[in-house]
Amino acid sequence: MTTLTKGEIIELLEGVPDPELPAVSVVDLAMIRDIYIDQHLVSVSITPTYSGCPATETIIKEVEAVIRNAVGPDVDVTVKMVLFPPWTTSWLSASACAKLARFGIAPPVKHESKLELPYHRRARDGSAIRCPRCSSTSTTELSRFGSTSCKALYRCNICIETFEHMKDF
Amino acid sequence: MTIAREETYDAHLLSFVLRLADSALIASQRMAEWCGVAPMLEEDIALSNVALDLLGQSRHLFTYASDLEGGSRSEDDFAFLRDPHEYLNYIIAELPNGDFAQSCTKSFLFSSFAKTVWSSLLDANDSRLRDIAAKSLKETNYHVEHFSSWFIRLGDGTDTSRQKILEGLDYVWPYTNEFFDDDSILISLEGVLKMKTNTLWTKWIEGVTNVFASARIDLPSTPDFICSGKYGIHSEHLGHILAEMQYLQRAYPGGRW
Repeated sequence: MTTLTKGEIIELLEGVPDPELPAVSVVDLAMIRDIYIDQHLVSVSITPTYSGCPATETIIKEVEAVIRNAVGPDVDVTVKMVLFPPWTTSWLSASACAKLARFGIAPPVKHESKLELPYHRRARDGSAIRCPRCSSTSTTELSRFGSTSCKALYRCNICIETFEHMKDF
Repeated sequence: MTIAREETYDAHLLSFVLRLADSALIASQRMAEWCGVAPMLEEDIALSNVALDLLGQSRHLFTYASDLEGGSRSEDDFAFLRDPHEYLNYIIAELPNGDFAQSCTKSFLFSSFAKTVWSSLLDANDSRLRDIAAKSLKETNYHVEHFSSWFIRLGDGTDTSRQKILEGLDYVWPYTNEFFDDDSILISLEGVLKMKTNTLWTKWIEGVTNVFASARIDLPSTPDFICSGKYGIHSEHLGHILAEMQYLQRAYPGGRW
């Protein structure tokens, strides 16, 4: 029988990083959608960031292992994947965004109207994206697709460094 | 009678889910062929990312297909243990990549159609399909933007790039007819899917027409040719894709990493 509370499970999961973005945890990324606890069962619902993100399976295994380790052998642990509502970067907390910025990744900016503009008419200078090194907002998008599904590649026009930006999604 | 009708319904829903799953999987496999050989590094990464999104979408759909069958075939069984005639993807997904312009043209037309389908499925009376559609639509929006921008940049670019886009379009365009022919499966599932081919066409052609205008390219006329990959009748290309994709499971049945 488990005596863990939801809050304690969230604390445990704050120790599970995204393997491709070790600066932030699965809780920071708002991937944990629900936690159910009864005497014999702990069930966690997780939502993937992108459908094809190869880190999802590792994350599910790690979440299950961390909880199993804490509750012992008499409690069943299940991790379910839910798709709806689809994950969005607007769920990221201010502290998660701050962690990303400290790690050198420009966090998502929350203006919903951006996706409505057709690609070819959208501002290409990325002026709203702030360089995580020198804080300049004079930056240029080099590629909308970066080293992982969730990131785009930018260059700062002031310090000339390239950096990654977690794109609005 | 009731039982027979339910069986037909289940079979049609499975066919529809596999049509979407197979189209995403085969488009992904084709897109992944660009990995390592795209014209520039950024594009190599972009195409690999799009291929991954498509693979992820196909996995959601195969999982649903497996549940519809009561688990008798797994996600992997669907992908690795079916022969070409059992694949129900649109033929456009299996066409060879050709050059970069041809690939961009194909992906622009295909992802625009996928966007139309996912948008429409948001209203379906099937919660699993609705959930998958909502997730996939967000990713597909990025794909449409990406390939539209290349279609415009190359189509409205130099004489050479424009010529290559026009040649790619010549090759790919006739295969888009398959998206919109009268379709017994869509008709029988209309109460559930709330999807009509003529509505799909109206929405698709509207988006596509805008991009053609920006690229200064005339919309081609609709040819009489209609292919039928969605009924399992494929081009010679699918067998070659499956030979490569399924090799390991065929040679070492049940092999795992």
